[in-house]
Amino acid sequence: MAQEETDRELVEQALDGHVEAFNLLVWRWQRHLYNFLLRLTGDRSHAEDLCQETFLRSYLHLKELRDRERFRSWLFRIAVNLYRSDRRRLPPLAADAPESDIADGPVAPSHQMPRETQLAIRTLIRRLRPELQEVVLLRFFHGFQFDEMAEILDCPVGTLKSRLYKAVEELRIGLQIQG
Amino acid sequence: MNCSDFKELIAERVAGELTPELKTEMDAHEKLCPACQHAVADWRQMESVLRSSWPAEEPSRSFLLPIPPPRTGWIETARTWFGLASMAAVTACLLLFALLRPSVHVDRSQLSINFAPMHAESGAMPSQIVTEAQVQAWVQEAVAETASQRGEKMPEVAASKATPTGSEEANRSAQLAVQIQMLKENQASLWQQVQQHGLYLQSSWRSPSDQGELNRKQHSVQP
Repeated sequence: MAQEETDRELVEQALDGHVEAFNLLVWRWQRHLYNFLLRLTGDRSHAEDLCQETFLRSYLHLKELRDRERFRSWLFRIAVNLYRSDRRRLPPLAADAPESDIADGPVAPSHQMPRETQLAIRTLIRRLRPELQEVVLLRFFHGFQFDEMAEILDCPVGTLKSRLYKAVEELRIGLQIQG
Repeated sequence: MNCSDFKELIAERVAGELTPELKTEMDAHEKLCPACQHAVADWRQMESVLRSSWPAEEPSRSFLLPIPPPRTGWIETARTWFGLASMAAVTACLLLFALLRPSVHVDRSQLSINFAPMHAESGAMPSQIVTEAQVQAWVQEAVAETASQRGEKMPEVAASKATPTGSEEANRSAQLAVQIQMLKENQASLWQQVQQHGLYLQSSWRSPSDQGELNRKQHSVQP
């Protein structure tokens, strides 16, 4: 069985002009990136647009990727920057706005957790401050280590840790309040 | 290691991202500290709850980039462009030829290409080219012939030339003036016929066969 090519190898092939190698990277990471952006924005269409833009920009600026092992972190960094630009440009979502794209998303089997609880937790995450929300999503949902998160969010590791503990504490309190 | 140090590293501990040395230290502290044991269990549960609350979903579209056609080398590119340029040049030449319809005359010594104007009547009659000297000779011949015809009808003028008187001189002058006027009219008529038959004046060389053709035409257009 052929060994799967690493991100580094695919990046190098893409830099040699092989678009299909870059498309393998897209195929590998598009689901992760899309779900990260969906959880950040709460809007499928917006998340897809940001995802498309992220892949396009990453392809156009692939030469600027210094550490080719870290393609995933670099990709998420582009996505975060695009999301932050959009957040500054677009009006903020009202705290009580209906977030149908969150509510009608897939849910875990009910024997693990009631659907209402799942939706309540999603809403709690969406209502965290953006810097706390980013840390929670990158750490718990996408498995990034702190040094990678520091690269993505352009922030020291110590700051990220304190943000993570603060976010977890806020979520715990929110869950206790909701019973 | 104390509880404060332990709690600062609890996320890495749960994720298994510690160095072996730090892991050994934390294991030792956790065995002795029920509060830190509880903190680790609480963190694990929190992570699990969060992850299972929001399963991933598939995007409705793919983000793959369109793959362009394979790139060709510079030789293939140059060949393609050269082919296109050649086709364009040939087409332009054919178009120019069709529009101008040049008549080409080849001789041992020189090549003459005449871009004749389009005939008003039709394209059936080819453009005819005569030299200026030939036309002059043709005109002179016609004038001489006309003069001889006039001369036969006016013998008294020539006969009276030997002993001219004052009145005869005046008559002869008047007759000569009439003859000159007629000759001019004949010449003008001849030119008109030359132009009507598509004879085109040009100071270029003509082959003997063309001159023979011209001679035949010359006779046909004489008045």
